[in-house]
Amino acid sequence: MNESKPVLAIETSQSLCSVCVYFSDEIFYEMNINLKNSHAEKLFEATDFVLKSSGVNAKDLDAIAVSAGPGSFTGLRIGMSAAKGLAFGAKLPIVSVPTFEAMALQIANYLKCDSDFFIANKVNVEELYFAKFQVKRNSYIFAENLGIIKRDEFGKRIKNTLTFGNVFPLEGKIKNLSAPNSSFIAKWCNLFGEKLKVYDYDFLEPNYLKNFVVKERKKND
Amino acid sequence: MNFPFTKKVFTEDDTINLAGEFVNYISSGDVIVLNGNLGAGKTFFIKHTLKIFGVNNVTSPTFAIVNEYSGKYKVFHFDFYRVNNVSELFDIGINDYFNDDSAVIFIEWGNLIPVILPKKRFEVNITLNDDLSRDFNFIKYE
Repeated sequence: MNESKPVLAIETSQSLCSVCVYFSDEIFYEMNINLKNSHAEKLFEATDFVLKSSGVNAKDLDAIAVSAGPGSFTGLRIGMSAAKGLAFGAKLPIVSVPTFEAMALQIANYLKCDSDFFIANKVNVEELYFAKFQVKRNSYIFAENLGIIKRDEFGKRIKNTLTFGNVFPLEGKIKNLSAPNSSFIAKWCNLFGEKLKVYDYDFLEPNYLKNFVVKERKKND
Repeated sequence: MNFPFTKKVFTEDDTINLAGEFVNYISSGDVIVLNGNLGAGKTFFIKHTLKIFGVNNVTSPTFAIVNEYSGKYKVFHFDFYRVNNVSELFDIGINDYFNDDSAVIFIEWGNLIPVILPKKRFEVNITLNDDLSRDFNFIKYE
């Protein structure tokens, strides 16, 4: 990534609406609004605020990094459409950042090397998105790939493993952190995003993981 | 009210009383599915259930697909009558509605798209008889 040019990062995959103009780990301008169902209204205000306060013109950005999911269907759509609009206007590339990996990068900062942790967020009433990570130095590796699991099954599996997410019936066992801050979306983009820059983003979509495939269920099951 | 519970009603007042009784079993995070033909009284029943939560602006969401109210709880009021298939529901982000634990969700015509209904739910089946009396049948799925 271009060191001299900042990245604009957007995170809207859960209740957190976060935008960041990121120069480096030492210098970034981040605005966070934690309010459900507010993203469509607040995202542009927040973007405008961070751009103005950092004195950066959108045209001078290196790229737009957007949290691509998995996460809330509507949230991801809002983030992705905003990123596309901004990128089109300022002729910038988009980097779609895997949400769970950016979050793992953030969490890895605070944990000891080699410790394991889960991230689990709701898909719907019965299922969860989940992945298992292991801390390696200040980064992470996948201990188990991103997937979808039934809530009951996951409840049995977590035991004493540290878990982050928004699954409240498991309260007490789980840390209430369901999305990364946008500065970590930007950081992930800086570390791994150079080859992921896309200028032709017409068909770029959030990663819902689940293609919303319809399962036949027995009546009254 | 012990579920499953069945009751025959003859007047609007009977229905209002029944709504008043049913409301005691509802709290945030619950999904209530209402099935019954046109004119069976699904919206009427919801209207009077929600009156007790302090919601007075209930209308049929047949055209809007979903209405949102706030009273004692946040309420999402769906109507699947005009919905053709389940992907239309995914397109409006229905999982985000279901994931909102702080809300109570009512779904009219839920039987038209059964695959989307969560396992844990109440079902209220209303049958309109020839003599204009109505049979209410309440079922609780865990």
